[in-house]
Amino acid sequence: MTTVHRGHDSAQSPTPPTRHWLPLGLVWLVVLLPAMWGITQTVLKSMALFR
Amino acid sequence: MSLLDRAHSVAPPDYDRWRVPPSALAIHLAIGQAYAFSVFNLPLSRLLGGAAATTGDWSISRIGWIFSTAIVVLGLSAALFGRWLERVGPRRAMVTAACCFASGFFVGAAGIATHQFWLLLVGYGVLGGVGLGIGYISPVSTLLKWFPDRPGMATGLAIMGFGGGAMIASPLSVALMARFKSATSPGVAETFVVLGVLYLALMLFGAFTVRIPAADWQPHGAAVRVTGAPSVVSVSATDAVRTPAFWLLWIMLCTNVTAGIGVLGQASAMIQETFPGRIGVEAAAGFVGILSLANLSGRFLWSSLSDHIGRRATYLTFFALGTALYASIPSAGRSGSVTLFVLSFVVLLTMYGGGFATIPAYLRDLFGTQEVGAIHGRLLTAWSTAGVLGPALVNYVREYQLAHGVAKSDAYGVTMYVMSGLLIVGLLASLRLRALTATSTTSPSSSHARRAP
Repeated sequence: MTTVHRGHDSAQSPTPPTRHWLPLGLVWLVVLLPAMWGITQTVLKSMALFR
Repeated sequence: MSLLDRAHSVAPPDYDRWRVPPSALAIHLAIGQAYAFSVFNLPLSRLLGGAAATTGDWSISRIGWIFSTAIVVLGLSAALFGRWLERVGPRRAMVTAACCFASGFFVGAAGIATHQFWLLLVGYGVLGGVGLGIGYISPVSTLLKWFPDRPGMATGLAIMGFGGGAMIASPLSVALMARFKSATSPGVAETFVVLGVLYLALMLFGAFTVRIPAADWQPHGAAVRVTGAPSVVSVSATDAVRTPAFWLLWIMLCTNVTAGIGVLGQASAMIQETFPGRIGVEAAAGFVGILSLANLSGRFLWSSLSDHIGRRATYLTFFALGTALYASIPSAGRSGSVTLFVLSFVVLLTMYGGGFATIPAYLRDLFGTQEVGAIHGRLLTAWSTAGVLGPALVNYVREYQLAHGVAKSDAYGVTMYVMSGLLIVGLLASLRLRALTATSTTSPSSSHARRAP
């Protein structure tokens, strides 16, 4: 038998450490902004198939 | 340079592990540019002639070697530097990848400016290819260590970035070339320099924000009981490549990628020639865009699903469903149903992406996390092989068909049956691997249970 643990995002966590939303949000923003721009461009291009 | 040492990237005990995936995404969003290299094909073939190619200009087929070289070097460098990466940690490896990838653009720009093909090949193909290889495997083992409970989802998130990278690079490169275009230059060299600077910044962001968990770190929270294998099984890269399981996975990755990569490269021509008069150039570009989105989403969806249904079931689905879909595509083409044709390819391309993204978690299930980056690196030689094999196979079969009087609208039929056959090989390898590991893993959901055969 082995025991592993779910992450501290789990609702069952007894003592979840404090999450710092500002640094977390900023690092995600740096990668999500260009990614969303690229995905939007591709979606717009894809629309040509349905015209 | 102690800042780059492994010890300096060890996270404090209460570090939020959700801050790590963006570091991995930054690297993969940058190196994913490789799949958008084709936007440079036409401008690079008219560097001397301007509006049209002239004597001395590079041919499209010659330019194609740059991308092929980059993909081959990717696999070789991932295999070569995998153990080094495990030793020095992800930060130093990511900085090295950033320097190589950006230098590839700078040297390539010099090659374009002076019209020296070899310089472009050495720059983007070799130097950039090394950056691709090290960059691709750098974040994978780190994420596997941070997310032992969701390894498929974690690596899928990073490898999804590789698909997204092309979506950023393609419109960005077109916009930059339009900005730098002049009467005497298509603006490719200047675009290469700007891309080099941008990607260097993005990759360094990833390198300096990445953290590795302490050796004794475990995620906080509710305990999950997992039966079966011991919690830590560590197989070295040297030992892993001696196991049949490694080579079965190699065959599975190679066949899955060969089938997908061959179709991706020919998608635009294929849909236009299958539905002549109904699908034009613009609509075909839309089809390529949809396939890219399918590839991207499949990387995350299938790898996340594999955490629940198990890696074996996931790959069996890829090969069984893929075989059936490839075999049915000629009928879809003959029936004249564009919708059916497009839907079949959408599902196939999600599985192509899913195959890439799920393989690190499969390796971790079988060989443990200690040298998973190095083992993953060696497995990526399957990608290099597929990168050459896939397009060559599709081109050769198509040319053969056309030379024997087959109509263009039917020329891809045989190719689809060949792809279907390839996936049967993958299915057999998958079944063999299933038989090999059936006695050592327990339930599909016990993703932590693993033992090298």
